[in-house]
Amino acid sequence: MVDQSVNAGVRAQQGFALQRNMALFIILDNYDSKFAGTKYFLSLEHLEDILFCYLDNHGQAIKVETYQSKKKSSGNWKIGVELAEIIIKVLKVGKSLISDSHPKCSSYGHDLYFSSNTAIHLEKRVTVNKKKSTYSKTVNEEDIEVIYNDLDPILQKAITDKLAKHDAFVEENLSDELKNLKFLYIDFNKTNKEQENQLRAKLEDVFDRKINDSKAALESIFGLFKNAELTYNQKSIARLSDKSKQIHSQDINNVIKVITTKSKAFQFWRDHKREIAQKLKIKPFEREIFEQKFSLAFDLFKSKEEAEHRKILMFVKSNYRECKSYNEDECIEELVAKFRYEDSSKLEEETLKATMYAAYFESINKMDD
Amino acid sequence: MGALIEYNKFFAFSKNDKKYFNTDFSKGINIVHGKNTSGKSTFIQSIIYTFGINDEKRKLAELLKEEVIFRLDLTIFNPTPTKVSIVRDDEIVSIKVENKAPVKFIGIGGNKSREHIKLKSFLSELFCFDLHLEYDNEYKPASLEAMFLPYYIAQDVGWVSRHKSFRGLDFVKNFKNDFFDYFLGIVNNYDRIEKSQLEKQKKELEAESRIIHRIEKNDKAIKLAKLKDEIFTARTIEYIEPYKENKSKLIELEKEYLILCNKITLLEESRKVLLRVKRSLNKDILSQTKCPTCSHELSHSLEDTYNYYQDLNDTENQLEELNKNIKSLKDSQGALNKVLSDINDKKVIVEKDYYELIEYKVDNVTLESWLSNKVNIKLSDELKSKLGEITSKIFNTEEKLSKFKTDEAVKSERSRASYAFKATFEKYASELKVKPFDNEQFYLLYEIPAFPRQGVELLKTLLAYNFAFVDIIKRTSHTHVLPFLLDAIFEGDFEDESKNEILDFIKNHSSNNQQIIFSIADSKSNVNSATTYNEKHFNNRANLICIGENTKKRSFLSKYVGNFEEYIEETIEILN
Repeated sequence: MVDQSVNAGVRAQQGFALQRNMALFIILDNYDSKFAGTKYFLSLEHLEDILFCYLDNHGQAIKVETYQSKKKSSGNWKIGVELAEIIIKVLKVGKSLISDSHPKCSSYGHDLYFSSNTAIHLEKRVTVNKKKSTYSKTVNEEDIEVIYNDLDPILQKAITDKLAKHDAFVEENLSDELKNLKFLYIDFNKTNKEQENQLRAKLEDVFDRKINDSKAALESIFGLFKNAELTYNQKSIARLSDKSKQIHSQDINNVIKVITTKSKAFQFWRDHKREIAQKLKIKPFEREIFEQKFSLAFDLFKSKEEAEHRKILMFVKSNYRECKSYNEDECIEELVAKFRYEDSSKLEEETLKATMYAAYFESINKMDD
Repeated sequence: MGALIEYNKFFAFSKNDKKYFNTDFSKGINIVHGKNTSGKSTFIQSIIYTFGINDEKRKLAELLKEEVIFRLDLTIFNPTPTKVSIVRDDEIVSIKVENKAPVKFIGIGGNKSREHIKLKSFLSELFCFDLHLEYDNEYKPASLEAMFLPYYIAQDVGWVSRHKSFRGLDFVKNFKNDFFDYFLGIVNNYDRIEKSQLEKQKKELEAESRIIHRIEKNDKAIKLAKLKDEIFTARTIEYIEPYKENKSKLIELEKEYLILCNKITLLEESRKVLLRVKRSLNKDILSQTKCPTCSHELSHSLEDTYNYYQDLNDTENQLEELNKNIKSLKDSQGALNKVLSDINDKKVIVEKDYYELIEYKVDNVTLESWLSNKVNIKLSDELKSKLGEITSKIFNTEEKLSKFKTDEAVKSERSRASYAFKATFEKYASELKVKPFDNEQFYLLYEIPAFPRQGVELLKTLLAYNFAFVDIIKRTSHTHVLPFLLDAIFEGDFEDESKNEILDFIKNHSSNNQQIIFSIADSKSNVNSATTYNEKHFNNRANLICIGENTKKRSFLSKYVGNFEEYIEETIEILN
């Protein structure tokens, strides 16, 4: 009795990518309030779809948050077999966490989220004294997080009634974990492409102009998840402390540092072409060609095959820190002089200078100022 | 008669050899006498030499070796007398006029030397002689020889043919005519330069005028087209205005088109670079997640990866942007192409209009023929004005030429002069008992060929001729008159009868206003001496000039005994 709709989303895209995107979304969505400066690690499809484990300075778990993330192809979630099955799974995770050997501090606790980008409509109709009344709670855009304990007892009962149909619920005393159960609505798109766009918008929101190319930034972040992705779950019992599945906060912080400080402001750089042409006193009738050369310098730097440009870029990268001047133009003059002294280029004077400017911009990661 | 020249005194001396010659001339007849080869000709030649005539140098070669200085004192009556002294020392001629400082000509040895030309013009002016002869297609002042020619009969050639006493004059173009014309006052040769120039000018103008007339007459269509000119002009303007507008629009668009094409090329160049960069990025190791050889997972540094992704994305973005630009440019190029084709369509219309216009007829004249004649109309107008100009020039030239005698007038004047000469010549010949010529040609000055006579008969003919010639030319108002020099009038084997006839002839035709200086030889066969002749024919009134004291040969100069010191000093002074 597998409900096709439960796994449709997973099938439509690689399961891992969905979890990864969701995890990133959670991080970015709560970056300033929760994740920035916090020590944690993250696991995907290990114990639970998404698992955040917050640590103290001794590496002891302070809190764990797990997310069971499900897409639904049509309609809302309702109290029923489908939902009960998921909740059972979620509650089981809570039990596993308690029994897990990972060191925990005394105040340890965990939140077990069932998250979805589809509304969760909890409803129970009861007839009391022949009077029909409906108890309901909907988790959606307006009310994104709902805690099980806060639900009306009638609704709680309606849920537990369904849960009770699973043997494990009673046998494994899963009701203990109901206090940790939370329903979460995440406004996240359905396809990978859309999700990535959403993540890029989030990156830009959170880091503002520190990132020029959010696509490149996102792909660089994805790189972090590669190892975790490629380590398949073994048949053995999943452990919280399984390092191969962990992504640590310092890695995430590191990648954020790189993407926010090593941004290439190509557009901004290219926009300087007119100014550079004027500085180098390029005649108006040659300006168009000169500006093109300046703009294309950034492109030629990219290719390892463009030896001449690479040479200049590498030269500037390893020398710009030694410049004694206080302004850009004088630094360029210094670099050109030094380059001439140490090396030679087939580029004619003006093109060399233009290339030098471009290399300088790229080396210092000159940003919008 | 113009200036009359009278010789007063001739003096020659050689300081080195202490030799000299001195004689005074009298008015009228002067008889130079002496033994054969005593130096009579030398004397006569010396007089001419003194004037700077170099032709005599050759004849005087022997005498000149003695470094002789010559001096001739003369008087010019024009009509008031002017005293002139001419001194010649080899290459130097010095002329003293009255009490003025002497004018010196140094280096007159060659006739073409600058100094000789100056001397020539000085003497010509002094004697009022302005014959011009044609040298090298140009009229220039005649040589000094020409000035003496009518009044000098040299011993040898002078008695053989007329006017041959100097060499070289024969070779001057038109010499005889110009020479006669001048002395007969028929044409001023000097004016002839101007006349011939004017004639040449007139000829050229007339030729030009003929050509222009021909051009204009030949093109009958011009006249017709001219009539329709205005109608066609209006029609053409109708056509040209929109054409001009379309054309300038077309040019503007074509310019735009070019700029656009260049922009596209520039963008496409950028695109090529970007595609190359992209290819290179795709090959980059950073694009690989697995090692291409061992399939081992590759792990790249975060920074490299981030760099790589930024590069890749930037390249793709730029390519996208460029492609968009290129596309939009190409779209606008397409629009432009449409405009170009519109313009081409318009061109076709314009062309059609043009052919319609070309076919457009007014009174059977098509525009095309009008157009081709339009050039001719312009030409015709120009020709008209040119023709007017030429005609007025011809008129002016003719007016100037009218002051000159026409060729016909000259011809008839020459003929008249020839007949006038004939009368005198015939008379003189008969006086000398010369057998008359049966052909009139031998009397007509301009036509006389060589006289078919010999010996005494020839001499007498030439004597009559020369006297007649001098007589005739003296009637001309401007003719200068020099003493008549006749060297060896008894040249040859003469009967006494003939001698008497000759001397009587000379006496009868001598006058007080022209000196006659002639030479005769005293010899054994010549029974009568010069003194006898003087007594018998000239009533002892002729001045006898004896050369070589009647006994010596080659003795023109005789020993100097110191009786002319003052005169010599004065002569040297003129030279210095």
